[in-house]
Amino acid sequence: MAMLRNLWRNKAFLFMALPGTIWLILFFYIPVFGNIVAFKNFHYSSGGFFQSLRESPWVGLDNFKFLFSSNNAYLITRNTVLYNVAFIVLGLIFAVFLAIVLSELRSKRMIKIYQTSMLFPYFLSWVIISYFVFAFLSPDKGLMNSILTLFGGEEINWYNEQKYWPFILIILGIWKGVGYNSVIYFASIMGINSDYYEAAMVDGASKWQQIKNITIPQLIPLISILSILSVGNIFRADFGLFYQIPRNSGALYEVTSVLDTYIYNGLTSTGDIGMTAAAGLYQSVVGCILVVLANFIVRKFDEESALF
Amino acid sequence: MKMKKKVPFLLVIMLLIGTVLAGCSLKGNSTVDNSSKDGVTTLLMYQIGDKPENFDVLMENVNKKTEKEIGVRVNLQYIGWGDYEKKMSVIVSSGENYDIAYANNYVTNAQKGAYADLTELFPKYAKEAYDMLDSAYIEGNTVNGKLYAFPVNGNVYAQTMFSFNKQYIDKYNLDISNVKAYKDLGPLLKVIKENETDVMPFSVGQGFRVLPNMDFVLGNGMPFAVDLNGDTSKIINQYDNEQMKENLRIMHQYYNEGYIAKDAATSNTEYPLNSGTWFIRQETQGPYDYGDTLLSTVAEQPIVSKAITDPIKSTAQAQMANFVVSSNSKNKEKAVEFLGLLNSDPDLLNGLIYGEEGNAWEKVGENKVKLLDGYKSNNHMAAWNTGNNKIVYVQDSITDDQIKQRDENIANATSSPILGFTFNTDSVKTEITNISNVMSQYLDGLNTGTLDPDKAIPELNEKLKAAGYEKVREEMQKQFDAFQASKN
Amino acid sequence: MKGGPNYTVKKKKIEHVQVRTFNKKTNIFFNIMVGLFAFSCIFPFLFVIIISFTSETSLLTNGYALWPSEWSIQGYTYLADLKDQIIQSLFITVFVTVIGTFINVAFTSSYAYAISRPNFRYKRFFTIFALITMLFSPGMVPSYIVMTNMLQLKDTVWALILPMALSPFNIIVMRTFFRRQVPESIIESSRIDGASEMRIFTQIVLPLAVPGIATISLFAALGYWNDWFNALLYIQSDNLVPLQYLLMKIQSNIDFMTQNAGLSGNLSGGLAAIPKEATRMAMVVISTLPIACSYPFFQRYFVSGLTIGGVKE
Repeated sequence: MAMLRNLWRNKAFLFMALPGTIWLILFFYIPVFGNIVAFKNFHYSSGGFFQSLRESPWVGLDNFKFLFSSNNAYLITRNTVLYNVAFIVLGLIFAVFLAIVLSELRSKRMIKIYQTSMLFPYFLSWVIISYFVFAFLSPDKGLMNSILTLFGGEEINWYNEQKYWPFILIILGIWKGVGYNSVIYFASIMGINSDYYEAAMVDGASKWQQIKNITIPQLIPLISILSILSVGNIFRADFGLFYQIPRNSGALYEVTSVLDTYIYNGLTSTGDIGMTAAAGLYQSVVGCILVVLANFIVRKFDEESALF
Repeated sequence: MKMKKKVPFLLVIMLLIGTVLAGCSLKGNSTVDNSSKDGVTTLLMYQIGDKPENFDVLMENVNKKTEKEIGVRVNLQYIGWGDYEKKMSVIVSSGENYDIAYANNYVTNAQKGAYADLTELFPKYAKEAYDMLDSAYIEGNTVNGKLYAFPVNGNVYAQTMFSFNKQYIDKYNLDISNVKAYKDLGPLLKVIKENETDVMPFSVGQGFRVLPNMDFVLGNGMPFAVDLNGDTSKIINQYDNEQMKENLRIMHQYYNEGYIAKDAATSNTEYPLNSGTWFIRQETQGPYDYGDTLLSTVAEQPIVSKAITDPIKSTAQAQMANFVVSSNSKNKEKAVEFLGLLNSDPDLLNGLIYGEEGNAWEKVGENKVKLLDGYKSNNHMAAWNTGNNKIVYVQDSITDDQIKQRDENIANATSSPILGFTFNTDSVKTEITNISNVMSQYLDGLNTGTLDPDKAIPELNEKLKAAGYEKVREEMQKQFDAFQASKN
Repeated sequence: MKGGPNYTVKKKKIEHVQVRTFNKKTNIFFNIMVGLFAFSCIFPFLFVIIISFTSETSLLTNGYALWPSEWSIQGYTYLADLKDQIIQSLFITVFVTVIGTFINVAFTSSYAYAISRPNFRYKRFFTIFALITMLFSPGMVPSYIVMTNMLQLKDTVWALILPMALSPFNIIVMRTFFRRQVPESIIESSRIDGASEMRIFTQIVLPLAVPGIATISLFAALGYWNDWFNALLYIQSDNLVPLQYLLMKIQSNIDFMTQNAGLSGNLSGGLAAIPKEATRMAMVVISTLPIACSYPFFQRYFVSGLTIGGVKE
């Protein structure tokens, strides 16, 4: 009885959450059960997918084995995690830096122009970007090699040399996303009450002190929430970046191979639906654990900065 | 204040309502609906490729005939080349209703039960087409003892060829009569390299594969092969084979001499067939290509080819263009009847392959056609994935001799020892995945000559061993031995 | 109006120049820095434009060049042949983007507002309910079944709109904006005055949260404009194909052709049908330019600084 009363009291909020909840059920909670196929050896029955699912035999963790058993497994996981850490940390620093700088520029028109320009990389697909990278790094006609030879250096066969690629990939990954990511921070900064700054100016604070004591603390909740969210994707890599840009060059495997390219290359010959689901589940479970952990830690410091 | 806020707000609401109404009237213009129209059963069929421009006219002609002869209509839906695999696998996995489809991932899906069993239905409902089918097709498409495919009778065997851009052969008076293997190309490539700076001597890019005289159990990207020049009862790793290694060394030498692009392993530069930017390329040809006739037509310039492998009826060729009937289809018999009609009625099929009769072509004699001005590349369907090439009229430029030669070639070609052998991967799925990963690291580098085989192959074999190669090979050999025993 | 009192929200023009900008020298320094970076961002796109105006023969012999040996508008004239399809696709893309953004913002804001309220008893539940969806992915096949079998929406324009109609990420962003930029005191005082929660949401909070709404609208719009995956899965009819999918289809056809290069003779119809390099670049230009230039439209709402003047009427 008490529960009904509580539901009635909160009816306005429940009503507001209703459309979203229905959507989540339809487009997430129902389909997500399909992930059970990760534990089965999928066979078709005449009744459609869910019946086939029910009638397929259980195979326990068999479909997950391929993620751990190869001696590449360690290498790939290491690559994925390290790249993601670089993206999270560096990406954050650059995005916030950019947002702050933009918010302090004098000409509002220039701000708009810069921001519009910085959104362009987001629109270009990795395939198109790979054409340019190729135009730069092509051993025969690439720009980089032309510049190198101009200065008396030697041509480099870029797609065969491993040591440059971590830098190339990190720079490209950040470059593509920083404009887009800085928008949230920029909008947030715009919403900070000017009164704070006026008071600080009155107190004689310098620009840097203002940023350090007003802007950044106001951004902390957003930064922390977004970072916790990124941690949830630490086992997922941007497939386009790691597959298209190095053009799937075998020679670069050891530094460009990440979980998603590994899964793609491995499953092209079998196309096994169970194994694909197992791979996705693996990435999600690890991410989930990390998010819960990170959130728990952040909660101890500041409840508002926590995700939940 | 309130007035000012309300007006733009109202405007926005009206705009939105207007657009929603417009959206509701947005209906797809292709009815994927499978239900019967005025009581006539409509078959839903998925085909790969792009719709021809005069699609509606072509299909009208087809439906007139099918309604008259077998009482069904056909709703043909096209799915693009690049999308087909993804879209079809979702359609099949989700159990969505369809009748006929161009097969994707045939063996795996057949093993999993996605397709209807046609072993009985085929000869019963499509007898004419069945009889015209080369037996290699039936053998090659049998999975676990049953036939699940309705193959298109076409290039039942294929040979790997080196195709030469004739203009350069003529220009430098080159003799290609003795070209039989990779090693014979050297001197020819040298001539082009030295004299033509803008022409790529050997057009090799990402995806190029050195093709020896072997057949492959899981495709030429996986290290499981049968050496047609050696012991054909053993499964081997082709990268351990001395002949293959020799070919790879030759490719590596060509790479170092500059006959192959430096970035070949990662390049997808198109050397268009109809251009002068290439000298030699590797192609596959079969009997219905009538030698270089087809290739030269497509290239709009003369091409001359030399074969480097024997004509073998392989599983890959047998499975090149299969149509399958869904195990969920409610019209299995009618579907097979339709496919039978398509593959045995010359008027019906040629109306699709060449376009509209009278407009794009006219019949000459018993079984030839003459192309008219109305014939364009995008108002007809391709022969290789539509229907029985045997009943397709040939262009009048093909002589009767060539036709006779073609049939002789087909009769003389031998069957691959692994024709019809389908490997059940259930017990070694993990190892196969790992092997696939190892292969993708080395395939392009080795086959384009970028890597030195003497260094790279030992590395490759190390990694294969660690990935469980032996286990898979043993399992495969076991199943193969059982398969060979059952054939005798 | 019946019921409680109204609050007008006065917008005070913010004199940004005085309070929150660099001094002149630092300004120039940072302008140069940001300018260089911004240039590096549009440079590839400029390159795309240049390629789209390069002649095909020049591309064949020299590859991509910053200054092509031969200019031509072939890329665009070829596109003119596809004019009808392109205009139709443009219409679809715009329609889907506009309607989708509106729906997304409506669903997202109301959900986010509810979970941002400390006095919502179930806020933790609903927060986690939405968050879990960011960590796990529903499979492609089950989602396909929900859309086609359950909702019967295959090959309709709603199949392009609904899958992205809610984004948990936007919910989190909006929730942060609601918490930060709407002072609790205002809400408290209006509640004391007897305003209902719905009224508070629509009349008080939403106007204050305009920057947040502008932000998530931007993200939603960009997401919809760029999406081609839903079209790949659900769309069969030509007249419902969005712009990005058109581009992606051409690209995957080309990949397929190059991967299956040995079949050149067989895929004859296919080869002729591939648009040339310049045309593909022209397509990239026309499918990117409209949305990229829409940013200023959204950005203007970020900058609506507000002060509250509580005036009873």
